[in-house]
Amino acid sequence: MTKEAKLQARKRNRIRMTRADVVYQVFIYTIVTLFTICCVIPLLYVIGMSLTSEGEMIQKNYFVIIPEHPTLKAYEYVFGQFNFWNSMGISVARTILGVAAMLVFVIPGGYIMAKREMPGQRGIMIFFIITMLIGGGLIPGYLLMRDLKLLNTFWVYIVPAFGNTYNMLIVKIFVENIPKDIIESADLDGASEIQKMIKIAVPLLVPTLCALSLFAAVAHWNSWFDALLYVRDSSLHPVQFIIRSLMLSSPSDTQNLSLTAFEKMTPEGVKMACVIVGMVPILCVYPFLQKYFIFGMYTGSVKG
Amino acid sequence: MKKFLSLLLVCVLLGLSGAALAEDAASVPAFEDIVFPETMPSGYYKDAQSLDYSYDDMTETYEVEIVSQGYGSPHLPNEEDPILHYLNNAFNLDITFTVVNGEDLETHLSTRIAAGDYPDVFVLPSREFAFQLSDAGLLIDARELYPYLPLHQKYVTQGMIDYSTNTSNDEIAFITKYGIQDGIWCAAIRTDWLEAFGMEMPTTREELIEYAKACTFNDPDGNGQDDTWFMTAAGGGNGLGMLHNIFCTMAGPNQAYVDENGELSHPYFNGVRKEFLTFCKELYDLGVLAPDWYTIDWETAKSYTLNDKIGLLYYPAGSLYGEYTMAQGNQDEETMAVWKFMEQYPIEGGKYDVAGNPGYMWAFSAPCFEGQEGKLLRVLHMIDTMCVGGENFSHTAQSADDIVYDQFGIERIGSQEFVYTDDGMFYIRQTNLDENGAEQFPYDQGSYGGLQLASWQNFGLNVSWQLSDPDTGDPVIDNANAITNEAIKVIAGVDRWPNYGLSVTLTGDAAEASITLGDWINATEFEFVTGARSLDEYEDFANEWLSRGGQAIIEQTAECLGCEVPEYAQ
Repeated sequence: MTKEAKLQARKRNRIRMTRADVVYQVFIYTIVTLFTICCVIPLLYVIGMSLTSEGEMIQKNYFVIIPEHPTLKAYEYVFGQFNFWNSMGISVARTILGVAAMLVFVIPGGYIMAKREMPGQRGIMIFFIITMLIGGGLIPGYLLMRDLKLLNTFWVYIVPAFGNTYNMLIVKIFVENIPKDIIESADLDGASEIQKMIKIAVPLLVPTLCALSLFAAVAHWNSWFDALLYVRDSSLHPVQFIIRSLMLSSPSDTQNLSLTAFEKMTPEGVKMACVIVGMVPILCVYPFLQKYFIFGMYTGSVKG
Repeated sequence: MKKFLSLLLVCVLLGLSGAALAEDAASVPAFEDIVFPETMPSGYYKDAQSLDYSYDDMTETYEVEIVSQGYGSPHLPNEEDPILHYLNNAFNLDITFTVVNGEDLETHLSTRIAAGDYPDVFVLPSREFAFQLSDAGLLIDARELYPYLPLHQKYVTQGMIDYSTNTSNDEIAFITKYGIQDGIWCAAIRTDWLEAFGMEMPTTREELIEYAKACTFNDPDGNGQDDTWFMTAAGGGNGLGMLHNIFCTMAGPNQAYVDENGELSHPYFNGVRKEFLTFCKELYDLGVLAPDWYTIDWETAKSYTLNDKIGLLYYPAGSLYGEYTMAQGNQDEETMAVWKFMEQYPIEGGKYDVAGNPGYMWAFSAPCFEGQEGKLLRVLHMIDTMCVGGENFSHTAQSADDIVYDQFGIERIGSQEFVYTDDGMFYIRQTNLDENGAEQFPYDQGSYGGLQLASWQNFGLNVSWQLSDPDTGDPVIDNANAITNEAIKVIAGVDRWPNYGLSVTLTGDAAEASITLGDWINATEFEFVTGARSLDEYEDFANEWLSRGGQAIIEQTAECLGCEVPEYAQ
């Protein structure tokens, strides 16, 4: 078939749009474009302000999207915080280990809870659900961490991650949806429960686990409140705690002190740099897990 | 005979020891015998080195945890903190220094205290928080502490003692003294614009209005555009900002007080607040306020100042001159002369807002020091010497001095020393020029400079008495510093209303109302200023304030000030 013939065929087979369709498409594209601009402009503003020098920021009344003379001073200040890289390491470590801890709990927990024939399954489920619905609160949580000797240690970030009932329920629902034939065929082959869990259930759970891992990773990466409550040693603070502290520092804290903390840059620039530094690492991970995230969002919601 | 002589010797020794102890005990005055100053001293106490701390034997090592408020930048870990190590060595202590953001301080302390995990010494987030702990019996009464703080006694005013007293149990819940930045703010005006308008420094309302109109309509910067204004509020949408700071006291004190008739006079009912709002409305109606005057925040509003778009400010001297000259790129005399602080209040009959407010509030946990008097005395000894004039002030404030770093073995880039002047002030001399000849902070800013040691200065720093170095060797800088220092002294000497508020302690419903009514008051005052609500309805607003909780405030205020509740609040 010649090129012209192919083109003619494509034109003949194309779905013809009516005038109303065209108007509708234009309208939709316009709305979506405007919405996109509304989403992108603030991000560009944050990036632009983080790269703007003090002089330019003052000159342009603290509104800069594309700086004329970009500078990395604000980032130098943020990265130059004494504990910054250490706290970054703490955040990375707790994210990785926290996700692993979550998975260690939810995979076996969900698999077991999916076994309705297990004696006491209902009672155990109710036990877990109660803990999910009713929390002890701030003080009992602090007392628990203290009694477990976890205060002021790195493991205070990890140990609580073992108990995620909500994720376990999601895994349970998905395991229940695995066709029984597959499980029975594994039984016939003499597989143990652990082998069935690892070699049959887990591979089928990958999209769901990726979605749950992404949620858990984001939660760990953004977490700072547990550091505020349980950790006093500044060498154990995660990066979001550092960033939040920088963002909370008000101009009056440094007003008229001899210490020139913000020389050649403004607190606004530092705050914007903090936002970018806190956001970029997790944004780098997200694209790799996006397809699993979308799949996992509706996994378990449709039976059969 | 031998036995008799031995017994006699023992008795003599016991008698001498008892006499020595009695003598030591006698050197610490009783709280009732301490004479606290009526007003804030105008400078540091010059004889701090002669104060007696012999009540502390310094023999035993104690562990102590101190919780202080942070400045945003993370404080150095304890093992890396040179000031902490210096104090450990100097006072035979094992200090754990915990730094918490101001915003998180109440959460941190509430959680720990509720769980029974008390820090030994901690800064309080609010007076109300202190009184709650005091009511629960968790704090040491400061009557037991002040006798061992001889340097604090020179700085704590009687008003601050009243301020610290929990009226529900008559306990002094915490120790306090001067604030880090008390009384250093003042109105500043552009002298170049005054000269361009052919005006003198305004001293009356009419003159100020004329100046305000000229700032806005006479194109003072000569660029042919209408881009200059008289003022902005820079309150970030939370109140009238600099307008309040300067003009709230134009017609009287912005606090309740007892007038010459022995009656309670409250600014909402004696015309003071209404007069202020009327003036603000006049400014608003004239169009002399910047377009975003109410919503713009402090930091963003600097763009007006540094771009020469605003005619009147409320600022500390060091910050204004420092920021303005940094933006202009020079500290020339001409640049320094642009802004001048107004020694005389710009409206006749008015005065600047009060000074002499207390600074950080430090509490001592009763459970932590129970049966450990030695530990308590050690800590009191330490923090007393960290006040201005004290032995360890220079070793702990503004990231410390050479001695601390040399003792800790840190390689210094330059040198920093604290120099006291004869007129009660001090300045910090830094001798450290980098290869380009520019002055820089003496230590590696990534590790030991900046704000990473700033939390130690919460014990003793006072910038009210701090000058800029008058003799750096650079004539331009010396001239700029001289102008700054002159402005600091001018601000220290301006006429202010007495601070009646220190004697008022609100509790219960009154305390809650004073907090919860804030947003409503701000919103209503904004309506008055913008004309959305007529000032003819001001009395309605005041009566509504009473019904919403203001009555409880009035009643408690009257009780604290020892006068009758006025009729309008009965």
